[in-house]
Amino acid sequence: MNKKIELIDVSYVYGERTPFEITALKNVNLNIEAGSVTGIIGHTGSGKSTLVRLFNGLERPASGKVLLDGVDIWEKPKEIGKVRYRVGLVMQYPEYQLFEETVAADIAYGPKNMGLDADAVEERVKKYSALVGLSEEDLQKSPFELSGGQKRRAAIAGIMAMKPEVLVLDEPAAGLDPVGRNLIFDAIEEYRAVEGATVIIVSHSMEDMAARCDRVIVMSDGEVVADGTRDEVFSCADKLVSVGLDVPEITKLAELLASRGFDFGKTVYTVSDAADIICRALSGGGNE
Amino acid sequence: MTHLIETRELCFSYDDEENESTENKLEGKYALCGVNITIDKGEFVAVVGRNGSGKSTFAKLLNLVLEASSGEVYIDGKKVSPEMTDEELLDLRRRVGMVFQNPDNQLVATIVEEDVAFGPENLGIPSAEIRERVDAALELVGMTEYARHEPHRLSGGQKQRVAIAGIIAMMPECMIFDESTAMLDPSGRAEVVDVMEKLVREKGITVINITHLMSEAARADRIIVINEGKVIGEGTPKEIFTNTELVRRAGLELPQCAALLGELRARGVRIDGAGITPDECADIIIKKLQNREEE
Amino acid sequence: MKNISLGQYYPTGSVIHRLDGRVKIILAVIHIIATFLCESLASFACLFVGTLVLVLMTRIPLGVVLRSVRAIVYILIITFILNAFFTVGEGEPLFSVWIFTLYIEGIWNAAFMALRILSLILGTSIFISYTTTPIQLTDSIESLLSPLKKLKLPVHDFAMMMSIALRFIPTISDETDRIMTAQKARGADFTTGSLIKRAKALIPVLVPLFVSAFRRADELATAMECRCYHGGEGRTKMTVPHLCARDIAAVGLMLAFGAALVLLNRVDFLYKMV
Repeated sequence: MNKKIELIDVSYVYGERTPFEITALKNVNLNIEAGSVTGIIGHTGSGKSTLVRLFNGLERPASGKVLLDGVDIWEKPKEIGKVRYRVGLVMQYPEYQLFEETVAADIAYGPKNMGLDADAVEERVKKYSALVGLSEEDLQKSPFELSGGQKRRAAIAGIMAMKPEVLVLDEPAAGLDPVGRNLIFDAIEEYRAVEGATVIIVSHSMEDMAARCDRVIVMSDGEVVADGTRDEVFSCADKLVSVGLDVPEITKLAELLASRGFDFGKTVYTVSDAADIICRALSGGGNE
Repeated sequence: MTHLIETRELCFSYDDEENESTENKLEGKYALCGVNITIDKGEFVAVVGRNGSGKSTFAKLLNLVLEASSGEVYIDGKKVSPEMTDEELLDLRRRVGMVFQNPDNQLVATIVEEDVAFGPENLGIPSAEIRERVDAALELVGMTEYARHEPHRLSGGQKQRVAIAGIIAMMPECMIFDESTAMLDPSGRAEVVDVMEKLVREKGITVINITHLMSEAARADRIIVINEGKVIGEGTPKEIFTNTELVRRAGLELPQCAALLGELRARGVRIDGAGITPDECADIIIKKLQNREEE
Repeated sequence: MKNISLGQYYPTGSVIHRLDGRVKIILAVIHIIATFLCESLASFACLFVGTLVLVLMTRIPLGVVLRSVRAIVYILIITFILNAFFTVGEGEPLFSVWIFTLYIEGIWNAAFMALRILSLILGTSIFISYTTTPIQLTDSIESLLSPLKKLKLPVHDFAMMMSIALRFIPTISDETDRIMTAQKARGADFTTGSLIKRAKALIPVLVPLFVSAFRRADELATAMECRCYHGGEGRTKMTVPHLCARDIAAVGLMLAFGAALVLLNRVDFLYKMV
């Protein structure tokens, strides 16, 4: 496995030495494989939001190391700003960070901070606004004239325009309807394919995670409780339930069917997979 | 018999509202046109539609947060209009309570119980009775132990439950949830929908849940589907869930199990009955498989 | 940032915490007046013993109380120096350098002035900042000012605004934190460069913050209307504060304490202000 990001024994404490001290992360060890789509799931307050802020050096661990391509990102604390360009973070409800007069200017904010020249900035604005599905016309509008879903995509383009090697997204589809959600996930997938980037998605939606991620990390109470391929993690439903999470509905259905004598033969996540297997069984080629 | 809520040819266009922000204008570009809906006392209705379909606009017309461009709204046979007197308007707002999307932007006080008391205080209820109502409302939503807490330290689901208690304390006949679960995590969502069900089943309050989540709509007695400002379908959850085409046209998505049945149907498998929960779907699929073995 | 607690409220559940908010404001005012009436060493000594007893009664750790004193230490020093050198005494000056002349009266006056300021800070800390929640304070101010409603002053609206402000300060402070983090992730730098550069760096934080504050205000106004808010008229309160024996006794004792201080001014021990 080619490790893009590696966390070694990382702990993080909020409000150290005050009466409000909270340990957000306890001795976390994990690897993010280069080029993979990794999902991080966990209950609110499980430490996953702190975790994503550690990846790009917005927070510094109380102890332990965060390695990017094998190099400790805090080796030269003064250069931590550069890490933020390499690991792009899209926070929850990113549309609330839009501030410029036009969408184009807003997307250009990150690349400009990187010190790119005007031509390069413009090229990136064009490329990534198109990638998230915004039109030329949208670019000249004020961000506040866009619809909710468009604003979200403009904000994501603003991070993509920094061309990060790792794209981290915290609940990218929160509050959007299915159409808006698919547009966002498609854009993320395209970015990964075009740039060969590593993608990390934090989400509550088991269905989205199962459909989009290769690897899944489960957090609970500041610790990693499961880490593995999608099949490995979702096949232990009991463990997920014990930390207050769920399995995708279709996986639940598969379990019910298995207990009543019909085994899918593998862990299923998508509707079409399940339909394939059932149809095959119905047409005589049963799995039993 | 008069219905609790009745709308006749209800239309709304944001062009009439000069004060509305641009975002609202955009969300409502389809506005609302020719909506005829009746809702009876004690019903649990879900109004579903994609972002910008007009479902939220519809909700806001019911208690005059927005004014209709044309058409009428009747609450308990009484016409809702901007010409109402101040007392009539207050009475309308008391009877038709509303819980909004952002839990932070509807709590006014720095202490939970003070916030719940806000509505009854506005209505001029005697102090001792407010106390009773507040205690009962907090009990109903399961927030009694947080009565003296500060709202900003609560979770999203807890904040929404406090907001609900604040409406219940005004003793409404009907409660509208305007995408009240959209900003919550799954456990917060479950907390809020559980409370909705309790309101209908135990208190006989009419509940209207505006949402784009079909899994939530499944818990209602009746689903109204809105798209581009028009009602495009109406029926029990089972009826709507088997109408895959309608759901797709509305830009919505069925929960996976119901979608699986739809997919099987689309592939030519004859499915009898409708299933929404994994259990129901498992029953149907097992039955189908057994039938095949018998054939 | 996460656990910002508004003001300095320090809950211990002491007798003073449990007093009615209005009573605490009145007590603070009596304490202030008493402080200014003190003129002799005897009354100052008594004032400080009394204040110390009150501090102990709040059951707030002394270290916490001293923190509020530490904030004004420079003011105390400057007051002391100015008073010491600008008082002209009757007897021989203690010493004289260039234009500065120090009399014994100067030292006494300076000490008394510094003690007064210290007493003012301690008094308001004991009765208001440490023991009264902001919301209790707003309610009490509204209640005490309610006679002004007859003069058509918008006392209720003012109190409502204050309480909404208090409710939203933590929310908006969290949001500021979130927006700053989001912009930092896009390479914003708030800590280096010239003053102008740093001020400019704040634009990406301030614009979204204002936009969001207006949106919040709009939504909150709608929510309030939906909850039948229509100004202060005809409004009732869930908790109508009633003064209990404890409150009346506290005001009585405080008045007696003030009177004692005035009487002690007559005791001419070591020094008396002129």
